[in-house]
Amino acid sequence: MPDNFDYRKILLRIISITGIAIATGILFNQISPFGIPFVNDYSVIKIDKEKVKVPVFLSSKNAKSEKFEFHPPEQINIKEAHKSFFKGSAIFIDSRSKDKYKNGHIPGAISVPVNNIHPDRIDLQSIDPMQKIIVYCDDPECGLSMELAAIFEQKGFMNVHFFTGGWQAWKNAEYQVSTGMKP
Amino acid sequence: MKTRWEKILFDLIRIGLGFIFIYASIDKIFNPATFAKVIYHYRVLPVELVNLAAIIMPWLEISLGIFLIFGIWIRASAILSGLFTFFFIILMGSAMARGLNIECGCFSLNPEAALVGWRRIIEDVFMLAGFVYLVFYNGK
Repeated sequence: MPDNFDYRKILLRIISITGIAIATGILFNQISPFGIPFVNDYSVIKIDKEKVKVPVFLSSKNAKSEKFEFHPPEQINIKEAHKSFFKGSAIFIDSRSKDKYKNGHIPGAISVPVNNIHPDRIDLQSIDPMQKIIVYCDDPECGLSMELAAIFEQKGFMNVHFFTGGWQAWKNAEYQVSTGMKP
Repeated sequence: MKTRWEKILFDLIRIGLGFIFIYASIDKIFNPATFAKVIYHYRVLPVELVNLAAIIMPWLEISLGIFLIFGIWIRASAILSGLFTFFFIILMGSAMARGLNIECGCFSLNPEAALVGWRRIIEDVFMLAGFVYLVFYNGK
């Protein structure tokens, strides 16, 4: 270490810089039109035995008056999902990453990777809002599908279902699969 | 005692890293809700703390950038910036290890901006090296 390394002075300065950043951030957030609540709202959804917190990201501190009431989608199991697939009565939405989708997905499923797509960029105009939609993820424990289901509901789709078990359950059941980027 | 060229190199690195930090913070300061979502996607913070992190982190970046550019408390700023960068490297590595294909949230919140990946990690490693240099070769 260099000779002039004064630990105490440096630590004090680090604390000061952090304090300045916190104070400025909080102050700006209070006066800014883009400010957000310090703690955002979320719904607690039970998926099998797991409780998943699905946050609702509010773009304004005053958005409580526009609070989106999330109604948890109906959960369906592998048999019900396969029945809908067999009848062709639902659109499947794959909320996993594009790489995972490419390596294998439920035939006909549309890729909507929830982690790297802005909700406003999801093109749902071709889908009838009354259409049955089944969202799935990797396994029962991922909350991504729930988040995507919330986005669908915000956009006016009221017949949204969540497939517990997800891609793992579908693969384990050795049902039909597709690969590549096309549904 | 630094030579003239060492001083020029030192100032170039200091000011360059300062500007990078300021540039990285701007989009996040004006889009905290989107940044909160990016932080949430890393799945490391409880849902309740995500917004607070989205409010504070960009201001820490911009503060450090300003301190570095103006040469104020260089060593302290470099240590804190280095820790911040190191934390991000660990975060991205963790996201990759868990198979999360997510936006980095490093410089832009544009959904078409870079995703977490090795390129981002390597860039951050170079930045970290710069901060280490500032810490050990600074006389202030």
